[in-house]
Amino acid sequence: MKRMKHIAALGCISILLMTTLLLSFYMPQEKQAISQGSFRIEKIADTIASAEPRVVRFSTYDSVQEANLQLVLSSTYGTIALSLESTFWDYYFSIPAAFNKNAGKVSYTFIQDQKILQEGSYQILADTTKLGTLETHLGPRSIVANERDYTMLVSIPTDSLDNMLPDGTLVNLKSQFKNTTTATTHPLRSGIAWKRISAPLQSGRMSTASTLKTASSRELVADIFPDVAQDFSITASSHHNYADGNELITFETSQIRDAHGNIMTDGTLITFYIKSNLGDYWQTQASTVNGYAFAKALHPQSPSKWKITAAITGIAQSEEIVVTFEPIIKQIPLTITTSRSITVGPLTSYLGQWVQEGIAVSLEIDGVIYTEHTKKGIVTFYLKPEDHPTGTHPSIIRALGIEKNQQLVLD
Amino acid sequence: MKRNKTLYRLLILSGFILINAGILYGISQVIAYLNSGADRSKMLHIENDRTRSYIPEITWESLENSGRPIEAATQKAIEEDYLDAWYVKNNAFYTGDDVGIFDHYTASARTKIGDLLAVNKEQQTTIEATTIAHHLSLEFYSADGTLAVLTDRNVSGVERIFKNKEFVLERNFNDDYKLILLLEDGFWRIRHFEKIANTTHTPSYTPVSLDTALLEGINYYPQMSPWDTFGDKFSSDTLSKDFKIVKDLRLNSVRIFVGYEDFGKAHVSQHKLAKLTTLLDEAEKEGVKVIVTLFDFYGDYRLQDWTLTNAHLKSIVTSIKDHPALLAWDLKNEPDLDFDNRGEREVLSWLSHSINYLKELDPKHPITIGWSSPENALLLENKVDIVSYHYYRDLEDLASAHTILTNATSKPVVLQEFGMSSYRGLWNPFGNNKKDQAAYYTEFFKTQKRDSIDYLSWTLFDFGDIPNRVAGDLPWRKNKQACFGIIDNLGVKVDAYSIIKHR
Repeated sequence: MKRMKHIAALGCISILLMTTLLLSFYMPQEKQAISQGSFRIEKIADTIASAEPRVVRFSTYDSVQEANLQLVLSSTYGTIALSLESTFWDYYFSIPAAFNKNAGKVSYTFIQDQKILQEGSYQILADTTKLGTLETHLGPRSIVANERDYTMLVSIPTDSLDNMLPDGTLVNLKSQFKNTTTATTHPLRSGIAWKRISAPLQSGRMSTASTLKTASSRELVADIFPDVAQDFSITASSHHNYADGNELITFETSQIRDAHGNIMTDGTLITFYIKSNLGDYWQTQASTVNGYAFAKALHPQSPSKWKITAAITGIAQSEEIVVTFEPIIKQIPLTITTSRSITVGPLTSYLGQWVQEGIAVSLEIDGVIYTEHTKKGIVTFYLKPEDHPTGTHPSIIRALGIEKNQQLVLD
Repeated sequence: MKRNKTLYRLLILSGFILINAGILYGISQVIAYLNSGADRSKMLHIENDRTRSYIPEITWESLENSGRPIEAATQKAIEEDYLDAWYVKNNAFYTGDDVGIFDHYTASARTKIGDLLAVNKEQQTTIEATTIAHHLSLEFYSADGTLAVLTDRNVSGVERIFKNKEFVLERNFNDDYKLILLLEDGFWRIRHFEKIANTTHTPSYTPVSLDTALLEGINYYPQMSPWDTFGDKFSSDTLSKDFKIVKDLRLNSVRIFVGYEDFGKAHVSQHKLAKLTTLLDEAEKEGVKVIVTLFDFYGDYRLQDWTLTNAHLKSIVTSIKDHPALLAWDLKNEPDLDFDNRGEREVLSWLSHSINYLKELDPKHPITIGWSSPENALLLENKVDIVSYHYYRDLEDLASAHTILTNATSKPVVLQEFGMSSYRGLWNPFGNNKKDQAAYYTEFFKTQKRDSIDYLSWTLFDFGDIPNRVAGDLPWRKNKQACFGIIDNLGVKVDAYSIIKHR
């Protein structure tokens, strides 16, 4: 233990001795008064950006005068003011790393007590040997497969300290679409390199990237959507063409494509416009799947003729098709059970089967119209004596688009 | 024992009340807290009209770019966000607080600012800075409208460096920058920013001579609206009548005052400008020249305010600089009185900058500053075209004070304000009366004739009501200030009138 203390003491003494030796060696040389009242710092030379502090020394230094010295440095992001620093044998300014990192013009002012002693400027240049990332921007990210549309790829390469690289540096801008890769070289201007990438005439997805020597960017993709749809055709299909109010008719578009044969994006909305010869209009909508859209409509209850067109509103449309619905009965069978109870039916369909439930049948008598719906093909009307007095009444019975005039004799 | 019991009762009661009060207070605080917080209307970054407190001059030099044409709305958005970026950066370097930096700089640019702020904090440095003018060119605007590359040339401005709160340096700068902006979260944020050149821009100074052989004039406010020439009582008939009086006095000029706030600060009211032009028109009809005193009642001078005063200056100067009745600009009335409150350096710095800008806007008319005393009159002598001072002391010393100035400068020296109040009354029973005032003027003209002094006297009228901001609210001050005129409140021309007329 005691020995350790001895060694420590010896060590201390030897260090002290060496320092004094060093000091006596350096001090007279460095801190010497060179000229009365004059301070000059070394010219600050242009440099490469670095994350290291930088030392600015004096070319002449007056140690006699009380020195209130400041070095003011102004670069892009801001201004800093440095105070004099010193070691035992030297005076200097130390420009902090944070300041040396940013490329750009720097102006410096060396002052003493608000008086400017020296002014100048120097340049911090981007470090082209240490590349950072290539920041790329791509947009618009969704374009249309035609001759006019394009997307733009912008690359902003930087050095490892995030400084823009000098103009003229060559950057590779690359794009890839369906096994075709395009790469072109572009010089930097104002810190960026960019190119327009024309839309391919096929829909799909395009990948882009940029490289500069060993530095790479991430991948950015743009979707190429089909151009506007071309006109298309429609067809109608049904199991039969009777106006039975029961069957469904299906309308179907052809596969809708753009001018370059690209199938429309799924979900494109198609509107089918239906116009009946009885004066009715209506519409139904369907979305496309793989370019096809299907819509359904219920057969009418009356024999009629439909004209159908379809359209993508404002973009494309189909030609008109015509569908004719045949009547399912020739005449209306009628049974009068009592003089006041009139049964219509059974109404039968094209196979002789009952019409489906709920077919509307109306009876017009004395200016009043009664409407009932079939059940098992039959409707029964009961005419009350208080509404319809005894006697013969002309009446009209209507069902499934057919009319029958009947003289009803009521007791 | 009994006393103790009462004491305990009291203690328990008051304790109970206190506890209840505490609970109630606590509950109310909780409710208040729950009701406070983010304002829904502020959740989105929706621009509403705001008054900008930083409006440097912006010139778009070119919008031609190879990317795509820019829409006017985007151009405006970029301009505003870019200026805000400067504003928040300047503010951050001044206060050390990075408020707003997040909105206007991308993550990597924020880091760079943050690092320098840390350096300044460590070195105890604060930077007060403002930019005055920007000249933007659009180099590139991307197809999707989210990236813009700009060059900003000749960004002129001023910065003051303080260390440990002590002034170190004021420097002007004139720099070129290139920058890349990205549209993020609805803000055009600075992604890259680089100073590409720095030049020192020394404003060219060409002295302008005074356009009259001998300046003989009077300071003017209408009798019914003192210190409020362009207020509600403004009437061209009054002005016409008053300028006829000035002509009758055989004087060749008047000095008028344009209030900074009165004219709308940075956003000068067209209505007020029309009134100012009317005044000049009326003066022109009578052949009276006008010295326009600017920035009346302005007293801020801070660097942060310079863009606003520039905007004010630009509006007024460009609107009347070609008027034939305009004789000279008086940049500021008695700015030396603000030295104590605002700091001499700060005031002089503002004056010097504003003269430069005024020279740029109107190189034809002479510029002066109405210093409150002959001792201060030589401040900024190298900047002004006319040296002006005010003199309310004993006339005996006028000649020597004036000679000191004329010897010190080659520029015309104008005695811009002098006069005597003829208030003798309740608040000053032994004050000067109209006779003393007449004697004062008689004496003045002896000196004036001998030394050919250019002068403007204070003032034409006695005033009924003096605004408090002029002379404070003390009645002896106000009454004194009200009675400097040579036409009294009843419209009677007092003795001094004829002395001036028949000088």
